Amino acid sequence: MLLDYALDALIYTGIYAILTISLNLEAGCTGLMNFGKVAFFATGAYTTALLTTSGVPVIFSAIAGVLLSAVFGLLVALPTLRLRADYLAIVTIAFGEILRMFLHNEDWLTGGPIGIRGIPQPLYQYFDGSYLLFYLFIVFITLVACYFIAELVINSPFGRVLRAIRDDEDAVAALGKNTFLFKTQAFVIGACIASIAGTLFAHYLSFISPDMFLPTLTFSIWTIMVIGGRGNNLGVITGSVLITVFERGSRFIKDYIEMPFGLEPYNVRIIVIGLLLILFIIYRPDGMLRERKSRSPL
Amino acid sequence: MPLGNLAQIVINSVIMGSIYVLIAIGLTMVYRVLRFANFSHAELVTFGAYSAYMVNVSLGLDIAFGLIAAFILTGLLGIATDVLVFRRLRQKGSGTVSMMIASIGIGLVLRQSIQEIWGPDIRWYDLSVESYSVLGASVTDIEIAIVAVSIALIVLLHMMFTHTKLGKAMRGVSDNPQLAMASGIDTEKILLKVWFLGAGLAGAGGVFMGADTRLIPILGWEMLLPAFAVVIMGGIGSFYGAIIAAYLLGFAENFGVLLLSDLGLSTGYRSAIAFIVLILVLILRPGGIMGRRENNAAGLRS
Repeated sequence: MLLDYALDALIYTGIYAILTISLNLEAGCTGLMNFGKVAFFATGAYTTALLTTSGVPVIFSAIAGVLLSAVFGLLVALPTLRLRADYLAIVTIAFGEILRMFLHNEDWLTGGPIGIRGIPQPLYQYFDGSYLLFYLFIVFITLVACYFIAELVINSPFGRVLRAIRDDEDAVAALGKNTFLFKTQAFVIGACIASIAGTLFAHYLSFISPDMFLPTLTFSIWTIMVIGGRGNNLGVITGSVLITVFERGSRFIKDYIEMPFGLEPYNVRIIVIGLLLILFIIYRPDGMLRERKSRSPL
Repeated sequence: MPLGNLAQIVINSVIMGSIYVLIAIGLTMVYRVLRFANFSHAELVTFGAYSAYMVNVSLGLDIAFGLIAAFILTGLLGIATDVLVFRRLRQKGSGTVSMMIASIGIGLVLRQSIQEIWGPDIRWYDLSVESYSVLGASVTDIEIAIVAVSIALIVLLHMMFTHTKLGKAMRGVSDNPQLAMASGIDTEKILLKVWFLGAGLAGAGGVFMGADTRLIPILGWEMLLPAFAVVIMGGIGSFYGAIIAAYLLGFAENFGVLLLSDLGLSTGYRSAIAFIVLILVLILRPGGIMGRRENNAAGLRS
């Protein structure tokens, strides 16, 4: 029982870490304020849920989710990435809300507020009894892959341009780089990775509903990134561990201890996440692990 | 379309526009002066609505007192967020990115605190509503009051910006803070007044929204997208632009809803209309409809 809780927390940690790595690529490295991360997560989750419940193999549905997410990323990027950085923040926050509204209203496709149930758990028949452990393994492998892909991107010449854009976009533009193209690519890659996290999430829970994709999730991911250290992928993984242990742990603990003054644990949890975000951004804006100097093979 | 229906849509548009104006003016002022999108503005709106609830329902006083209390309390809360968070960031020289992230954090704390205090359920003000019929459309005395008070506030603000020393100082600080400081204006002091006024107006907007619909902890969050659409459409920092844009959005939403039901789509997509308006503005006129050339250039680059 306790082991199941621990495995569950680790699976969540992995999924959040993948999401945060994707946010880190956009926001931490390139300075793109994506406040609608949850939309791309939801895209992955709903695409795989819809396709696999109609019999499509997981591997194809995951690819379909990534492609659809990339298209959405492109659609959001095109009108906004040429403009001021804060416009992107506003548009992405709105995009997340519109997508959730769509999931909520289009019953014929998405099941409306009830969502989609009976999403198949791949290879369940072979791992009956130890499925959590098997799933953790899958999540872990995906996380490692995403980590190395993100590190590869960040430390490549392409990644150095991204960081330069974050630090001084005008200077990069003056050197003749098409910053819009670089930013769009970073945003689309981020959208794709978030979609993979969504795929893992949908098959883990085996049911999804619009209420699981609230903007609060985006902000938790932001808190993880800021606490961990913007621009540092090891930092954001550490942040994921801390926040998930806190989040899952407080869910677990509430069954055993009484909250003082009858406080609602859900509210307290979000207030703490908000406070952490504020305190870190004021007193330790670099997070726990500072961004490392870019490693160049030369 | 029968005349009654048309009149109803026009009336509804004017009411929504009047509420958007109040919320957007505060947002656009802070945006212009401090140069960041304050996402916690949404929760100032909600806080205003609930502080009026305290006065109106918990204390049993008239909603007019609730409105005044909401303005003052929300204004003070706006000052508190600046003193506790944003001023510290300014002093450390943090950029707009940090400000926006911090405002998200403040929003989370405020929204969940409101939900903790008043609970997630729907609440209503204690109002005695009388309904009138105008050209076949129905309008309540509350709605008339909303429009009248909003317009009165707009006129007062206009007078303040053009005729008083404080208003001129505010405009000075927002146009060019360094120059204002060099001219002997205490910018930090003016900033606090901008916060008080901006947040207070947001609180008043929240009361009106709550009186016209209902009170829920995400009341302000639901207004965030239309508020930003208005601010960007009007041109960031433009007082008159925000007024025009607010009423334009009010009309766009109410006629858009009609279009939605004609297309067989759910009217739940109402707030998608603000999103479409926002995207159109960003594509066609990123500096806003007031379209000062420097504004459009500023829209293209931070």
